[in-house]
Amino acid sequence: MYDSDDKTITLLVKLNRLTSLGKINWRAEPPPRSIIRGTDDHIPIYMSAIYKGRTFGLFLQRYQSYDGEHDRLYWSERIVLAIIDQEENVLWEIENSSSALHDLFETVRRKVARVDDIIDDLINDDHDEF
Amino acid sequence: MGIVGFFITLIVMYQVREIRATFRARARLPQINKELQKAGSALNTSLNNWPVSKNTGHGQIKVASSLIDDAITFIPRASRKKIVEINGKLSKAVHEFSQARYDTPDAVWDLYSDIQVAITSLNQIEKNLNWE
Repeated sequence: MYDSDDKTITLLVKLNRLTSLGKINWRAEPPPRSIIRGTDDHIPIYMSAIYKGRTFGLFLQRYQSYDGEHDRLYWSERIVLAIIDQEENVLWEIENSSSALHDLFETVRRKVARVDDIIDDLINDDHDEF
Repeated sequence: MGIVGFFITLIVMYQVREIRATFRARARLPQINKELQKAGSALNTSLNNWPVSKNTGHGQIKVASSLIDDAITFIPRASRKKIVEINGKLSKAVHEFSQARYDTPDAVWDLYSDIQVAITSLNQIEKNLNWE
């Protein structure tokens, strides 16, 4: 039996693994309005993918918090994985600070930005010059 | 009276030892867990470039195993079972890494998953220690 944390880790690792193997394809797109409507939050990057008929959104969210001691607002950021329905509502989200979520974000961002292709391309250019 | 005093001294010594162990665990576990997270993230990077990064991945599994080994000494006995099981899997993999099944990333993804479960368990143990 899995407990709740273990289930979440299993899901995050599975998405990471399938992304790494190229079995889930993510693409960068503007965030759904339901995520930013009525907030001052900033979403610098939003990526989505469809897996088993579900739409997943993975994004970096910058949000303001209040520091009562110094009476000021400050910015923090977090990574969020969400399941989005057809009307672009967030049905469920994971926003803990687990390293599994952070690693998934890094893998997806690397795939979306095609970092490996860029590096391979640069390395091949170097070889051509020699 | 002398015997009673002797037993009270033993109890006090035991309690001082327990308190010292709790303080050491509170100080060391977060540091070890942070290093374990770094090893896990490095393994994730290696997995995205397997088998080219197999040697680097092997190194990260070794690091993770020794960190968990270290962490076990600070964990209360009642919470050790899952972490000890995971460490057994990692130690076994470290010694068997030249086997063909580690040429593909599948078996290593399972180890990566175990490392993430260990990180989550250590997080929970850290939280519990703060209430002791």
